[in-house]
Amino acid sequence: MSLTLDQVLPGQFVEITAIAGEPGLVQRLYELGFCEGERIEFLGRAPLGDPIEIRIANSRISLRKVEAAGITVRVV
Amino acid sequence: MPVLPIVVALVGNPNAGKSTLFNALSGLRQHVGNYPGVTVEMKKGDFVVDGRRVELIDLPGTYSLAARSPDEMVAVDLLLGRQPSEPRPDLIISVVDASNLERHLYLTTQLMELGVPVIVALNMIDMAKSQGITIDAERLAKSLQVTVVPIQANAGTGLDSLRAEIVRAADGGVAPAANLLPEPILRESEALHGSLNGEIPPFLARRLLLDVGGYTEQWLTAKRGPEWHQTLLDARLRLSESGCPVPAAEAKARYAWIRAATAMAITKPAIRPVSTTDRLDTILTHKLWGTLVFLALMFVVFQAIFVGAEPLMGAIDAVTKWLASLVEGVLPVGPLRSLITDGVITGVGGVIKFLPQILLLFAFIAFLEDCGYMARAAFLMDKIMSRCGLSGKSFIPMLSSIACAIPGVMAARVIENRRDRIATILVAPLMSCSARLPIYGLMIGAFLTVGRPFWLKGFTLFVMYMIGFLVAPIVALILKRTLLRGATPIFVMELPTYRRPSLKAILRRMFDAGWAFVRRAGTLILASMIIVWALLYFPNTDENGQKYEERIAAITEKAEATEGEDAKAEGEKAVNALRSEWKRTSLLGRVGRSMEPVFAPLGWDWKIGVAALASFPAREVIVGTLGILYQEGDIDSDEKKDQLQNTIRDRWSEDPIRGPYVVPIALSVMVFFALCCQCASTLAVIRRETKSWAWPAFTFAYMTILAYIGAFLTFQIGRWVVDHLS
Repeated sequence: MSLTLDQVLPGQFVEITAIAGEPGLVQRLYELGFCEGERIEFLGRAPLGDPIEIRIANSRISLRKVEAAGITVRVV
Repeated sequence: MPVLPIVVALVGNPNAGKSTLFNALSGLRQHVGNYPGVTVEMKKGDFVVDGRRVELIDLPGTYSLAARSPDEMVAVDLLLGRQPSEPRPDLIISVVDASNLERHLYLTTQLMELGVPVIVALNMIDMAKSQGITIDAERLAKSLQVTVVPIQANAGTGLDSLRAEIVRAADGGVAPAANLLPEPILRESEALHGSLNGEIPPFLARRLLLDVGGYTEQWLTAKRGPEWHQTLLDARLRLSESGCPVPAAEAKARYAWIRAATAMAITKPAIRPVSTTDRLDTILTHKLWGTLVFLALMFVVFQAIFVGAEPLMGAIDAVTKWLASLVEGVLPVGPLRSLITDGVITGVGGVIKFLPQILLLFAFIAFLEDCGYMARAAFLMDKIMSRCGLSGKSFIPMLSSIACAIPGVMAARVIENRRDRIATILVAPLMSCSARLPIYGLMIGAFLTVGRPFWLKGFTLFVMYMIGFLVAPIVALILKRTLLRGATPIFVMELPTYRRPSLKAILRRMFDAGWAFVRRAGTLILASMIIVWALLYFPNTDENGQKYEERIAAITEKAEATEGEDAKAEGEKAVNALRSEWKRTSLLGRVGRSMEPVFAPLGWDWKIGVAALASFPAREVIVGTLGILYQEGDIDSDEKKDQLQNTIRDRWSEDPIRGPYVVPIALSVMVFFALCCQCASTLAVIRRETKSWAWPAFTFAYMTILAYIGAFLTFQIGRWVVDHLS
């Protein structure tokens, strides 16, 4: 099943299949370890539903939903 | 020939422990380097190893060398030796977090292409070990082909061998750069480098090709025009066609290389153990509990700033008054004495008074930042702040401004995006700071207490604070839509692992913030206090050429010589009348009277106008100035403040024109003070933080206009209500 990172539910593990978006954002995501094939654990959402918190490799990353919408993932 | 010092640059991701390492290596010998046109500051320190002097530069934390703004470019230029005021580093120390090695090595691989020797400082080995991660440093060094020194910077472990390696590596020469980028990228960047005739070094040609919309691209396109830009786009298109699209190709190549290089050196547990950070974050970033903890924490912080700083602020006031009276006892009556007591001592005292609040706030900020909570606060508040075009990172600077805008403006440094940072700085002075309390207290006490509902006092004060809370986000939104318009900055941020902050680091941050405030803001506010003093002092003779000070001294002497309370009170009254006349005929008094038509639409007479004008360097001055103008002498006790309250109420109510409108006038004064930037220290700090006179000038202009309009509307609406509804 293919979906974007902002649609994932807390506690789910997903794998990145594609990254798209504004070049500066995509480059920053790569620098932070977001790479096709990497696994992500969805940790939760902020009080008003945005931004979201995820774990990739050994770091916790927070990103806004609009930013997460460019990351296509599949549930593993 | 003297041996030149070894210049060493410290580079690493944010939260890699770079600053801790910098402090541990350079101790107390530090200073700050500034660069023209950018707000970036870099700390510099030095130390001696085996008789060789080492100069250390701490670069801002970064995830890569792909610079997107002039601020980020400073670090890249410095590493390439393109920063005119700085020598090129002889050595780079790449600080990496052992518990997150692969990601941190991404930056290291870029540093290895600069043609400067690199040492990897493998930091936080203890924390990695506690998570079951072990790293074989020797193997890692072999596969990376650079020196690797395992350290634990906050415990001081491994620093001796790091120092020794610095000297060895600086003399040792450059290891060959790992050729890890795919062939097509290297080919295209070489061609690009050739076509630019040596205008930029090969490394920047590579960044030009790989960083879509990056700083080098912006700069060269502005310089060479759109036709040249097309050649760059063509090169990227060719890369994409040969299976190397930017920026994905660079990331893939680097991570593939890193994975191969670290495969034999790292052992990780199969199942990631649950860490303290995980456990803490289930509460601290929880929708409900996280919000509650955050609100409770903010309450504690601001309560502590208000309550904790109070005794110190009182003590500073007392010392100021004591010093002034000391000078009065020594110096003869005259301009010099008045300048030193009323201008210099009161001026400096008025600045130093804010120091306790700044030190306390920075202690909290340093603690919250160093322990890793600050990023969580930004995470929790981001959605609300995004409504006014800012991000969660602006929340703490804006909230801090309730205590005082100066630390608030300084706290905006945590916001990396320049436009967001400037928008936050420009609206921070709108938040109701503690220096506005005296005038609120005076006006509410005089006009909204006696014979009014008991809740009106608190309600009015609440409304005054709400003005700041409501206007600041609106102004921020307007600024972000107009002057500071631009692409939404990237919010993506790391939520770092929680750690125990070091007391030394917190004390250092407090000291740095306090010193910066005292030194730079202190000089400017001192100058402006002296100007206001002079404008209220001169001319110091009456129309008969007699000096006011001599007349006052004569009356006082006479009153003291005679027995009886009545004579003393009579003398005091005469002195106050004389003081008032002196202020009325002073330069500022004349200006105030000639500006009466400007104040009239706000409901003000010339006295309020003069008091407001005299308060532009520091808004608390208004209470003292009103005291002088309404003949109550200097306001220094609660009793006298009550007296002033009564005098103002009586005088305003007696006025045949303004009498019926005292409440609208009081509200108009309060609204003016709520919205106006009457604080030279804040403007000086804005100048310091934005490195430009334009922003403080803009802040001053927009807030003054806003204050005038606000006070005008308040008075006019208030007058209409009085005329029609009562």
